[in-house]
Amino acid sequence: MVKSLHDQIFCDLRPEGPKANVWQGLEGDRVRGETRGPPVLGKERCEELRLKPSHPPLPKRKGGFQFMQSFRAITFIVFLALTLAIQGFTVAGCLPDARGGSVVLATTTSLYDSGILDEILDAFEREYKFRVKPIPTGSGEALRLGIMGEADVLITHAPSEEERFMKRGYGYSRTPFLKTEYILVGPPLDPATVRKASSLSEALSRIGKAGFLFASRGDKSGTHIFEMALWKKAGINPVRKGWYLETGQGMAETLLIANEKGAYCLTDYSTYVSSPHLEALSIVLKPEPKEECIYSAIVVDASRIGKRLGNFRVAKLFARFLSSQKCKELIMRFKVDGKIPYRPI
Amino acid sequence: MKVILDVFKEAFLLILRLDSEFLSVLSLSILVSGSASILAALFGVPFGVALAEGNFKGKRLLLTLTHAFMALPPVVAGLVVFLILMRSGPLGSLRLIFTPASMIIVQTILAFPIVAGLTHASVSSVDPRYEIQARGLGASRLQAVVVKVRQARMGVVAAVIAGFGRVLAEVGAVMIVGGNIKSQTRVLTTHLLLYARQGKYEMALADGIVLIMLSVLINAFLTKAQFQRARTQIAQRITSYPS
Amino acid sequence: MEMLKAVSIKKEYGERFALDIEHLAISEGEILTCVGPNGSGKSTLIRILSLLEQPSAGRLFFRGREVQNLKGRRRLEVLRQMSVIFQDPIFFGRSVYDNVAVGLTFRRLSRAQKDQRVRQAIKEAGLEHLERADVSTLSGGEAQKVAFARAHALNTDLIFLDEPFANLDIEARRSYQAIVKNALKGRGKTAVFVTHDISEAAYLGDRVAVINEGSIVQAGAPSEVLFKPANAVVARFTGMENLLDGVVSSSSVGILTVRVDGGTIQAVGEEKAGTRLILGLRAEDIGLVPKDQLRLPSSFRNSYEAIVERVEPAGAVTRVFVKCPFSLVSYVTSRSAVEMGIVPGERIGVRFKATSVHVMGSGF
Repeated sequence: MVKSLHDQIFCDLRPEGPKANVWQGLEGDRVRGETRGPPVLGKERCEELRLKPSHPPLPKRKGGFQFMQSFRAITFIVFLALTLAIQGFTVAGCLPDARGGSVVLATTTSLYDSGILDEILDAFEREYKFRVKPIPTGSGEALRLGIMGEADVLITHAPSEEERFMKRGYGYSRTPFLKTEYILVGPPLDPATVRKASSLSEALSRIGKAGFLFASRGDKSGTHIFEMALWKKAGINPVRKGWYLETGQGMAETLLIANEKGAYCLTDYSTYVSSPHLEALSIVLKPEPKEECIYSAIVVDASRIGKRLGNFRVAKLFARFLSSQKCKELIMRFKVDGKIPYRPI
Repeated sequence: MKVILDVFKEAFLLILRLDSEFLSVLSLSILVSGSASILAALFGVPFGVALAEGNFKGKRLLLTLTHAFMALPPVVAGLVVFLILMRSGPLGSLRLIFTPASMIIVQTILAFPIVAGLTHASVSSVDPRYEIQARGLGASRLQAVVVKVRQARMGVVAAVIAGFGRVLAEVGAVMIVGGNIKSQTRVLTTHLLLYARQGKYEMALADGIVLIMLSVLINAFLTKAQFQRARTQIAQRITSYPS
Repeated sequence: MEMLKAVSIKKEYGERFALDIEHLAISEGEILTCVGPNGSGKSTLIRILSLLEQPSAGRLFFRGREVQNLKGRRRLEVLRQMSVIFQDPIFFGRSVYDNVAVGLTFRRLSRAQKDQRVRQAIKEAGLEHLERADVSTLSGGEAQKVAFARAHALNTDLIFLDEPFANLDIEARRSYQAIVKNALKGRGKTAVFVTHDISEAAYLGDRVAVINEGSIVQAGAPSEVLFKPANAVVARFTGMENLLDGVVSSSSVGILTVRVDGGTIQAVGEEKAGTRLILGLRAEDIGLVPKDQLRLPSSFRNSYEAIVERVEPAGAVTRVFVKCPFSLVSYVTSRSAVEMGIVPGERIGVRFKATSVHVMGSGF
């Protein structure tokens, strides 16, 4: 039940998902029996299905013409059309992955916004012919989707939360594979004199004490969790302050709001460099030593995702791919605006 | 099943408890959409009346445009207003972007064609004899128009309410120009979107329930207005005879 | 002095001529009634004369001033010297009082002035008991009285009335007609009044103009129009039911002998022998008598033995269709129809005076 509710909310993000589910319910036992077979994934199987349809209605077509003049002929045509439509949907539904929905990757927005995720996913698909569907969201939400069994594999950057997730047995494996760094951006004139600060928490304390605008994602994402920890260190509770803008949105949107509002903002380096039109923001603090932002891939434990063993296998494969040499090279090659935002681990 | 029932239960409890965050979102929603509707009414009603009663060049074109803009996609309106109000935009210096003011502006733009178009429709459908009779008793052109508008008042109110309904349920434009900043520019629809994404389904559903309740209320009013109009039309038919 | 004059007024809707008035003048203090069948253009005429509609061509003079092309304030100024009452009154406010006051409100009168005039008009229309009533609860007759009162309250010198009595029953119509006539005459108002009922037109009008197909076919005193219709159209419209084509066979000392289909009729006239003409006879001028009475001497120049063809009871009177051998319609009281035993197929005497026969040219 929760799944279907979730599907409704995300139907724009996963267009094929709900459709496939809807039609599966209407197919009847014969077709459903087919879907209960061994979990065979990927395009090969799909094409096989499309080429050799095993559904009985098709041969009926010949006999149908005898009744062309009669009402039965019309009924037959309607029936045929419906059958073909259902068949079409079944085939379409199995494109990303055959049985029991797609392999879902809940990911932080940062990787998605910078475009690197698309490249990784493309490379993975080229290599293994499996498609993985990314849902961009915050780290907190990604972990929650993992707990609910809505996602098969996660990419997050909230180490403390991730450890808790693993400790409670929701995860099968956790692999750090990519990193960037946290920076503080703000108005170039730097009214809070953040540039003189030695650490991020000191910078935040300067901003908070003077009450300069600060844009926060406020969405329990990795960056937000990290930011909250910094505020705690600075001894300030920014929540419900007039100068504290909680956007509830992704990193790119939050940077945009900071840009327009002339606010400070804690961000990962990669999203900042990959966001265009941030003329009113510049890097005001790039702490030394680096405040690292480490992205890990977590494969959700199979028991969480029910019987979707096929998904589990693909998820494991995907996590392994993220740490592969091939992927590392890809990360090192990835450039935005001439800058290399990520480093492999 | 249990989960969804729990979600519903929690949502109703949230509404009944008048959760403070929820209340602030609701009141901002009504404030923004209400102001936008009032502004749209201030401009749209006279404009609609002028379209119905005026005699000027380009009237047909304006009417066509009005009807076309009744279906203006909110995200497009949002994007255009954003480009105008953003820092580097032509009106960037006003610093209105990501404030309730910018949301009111974009919603006014969305509600205006609806208010104008429906006002035009309801004023045009007033029996022309009202105007002739008023003129026959010495009304100036303007006074006769006022008489007609008063006759169409239910329709005009319905037009404004319909505009309110549209902007209240609108999410794309306020998301773009408002930014969904907590307790500043977060309204029912963007709040719903955010919490649906974060998996706080109770909160999202509470928003949804309130949105539906408001829409039911609005539609109940519109239906009532329609019935009233049908009734007066029937009454007119009964008392009027072909001359 | 002329209050209103229309010269060569034309109105067309698309291809169709709705109105084509060569000349129409209304003098001060006069009540002109325009009478004509439905769709004859009377209502269009009223809307044009009252400046509510623009004529396609022609000129309109109000108190000697050309007004048809006036715009804006100046047009309004003229418009406010007139008031119009329509067949089905359209109400604006809720109460009778508000509705009577509406024209004064348009003129921005002070509250006190307004109140005084509204009360006066309500009193003259006999509506005191309904002053606070909701207009939607009024009967047809009451509604019309309100409509009259609100025009009357304006006290304009010129009033237009477009079929104000059309929807009323006979009782309400009589009382309302009396109220209107008294009010108009009492204040010496000029009025243009449209109706399709000739008797109403004759009762109210100082002068009657008969309109047909957008043109004035005859204008004159009520008696003139009623008894000397200019042509067959007017004749039929004024209730002259018997119209016969004929040719004058002989003419001597003002008495014509006219040959009609199957017989001759004697009429009063000066036409030469051989002239084609139309004879008009009011049904009520034709007497029916038992056929043996025809032999008795009488002043009726025309008398025939006829066969009753059809009998149509119509309330107090009965219409009797007879063949003498030309066809005629006669009215007898329903009582005498029974007493005389008038039934189809019966032979009966028919007679009428030569002076009752109205002679018209056959132009129409």
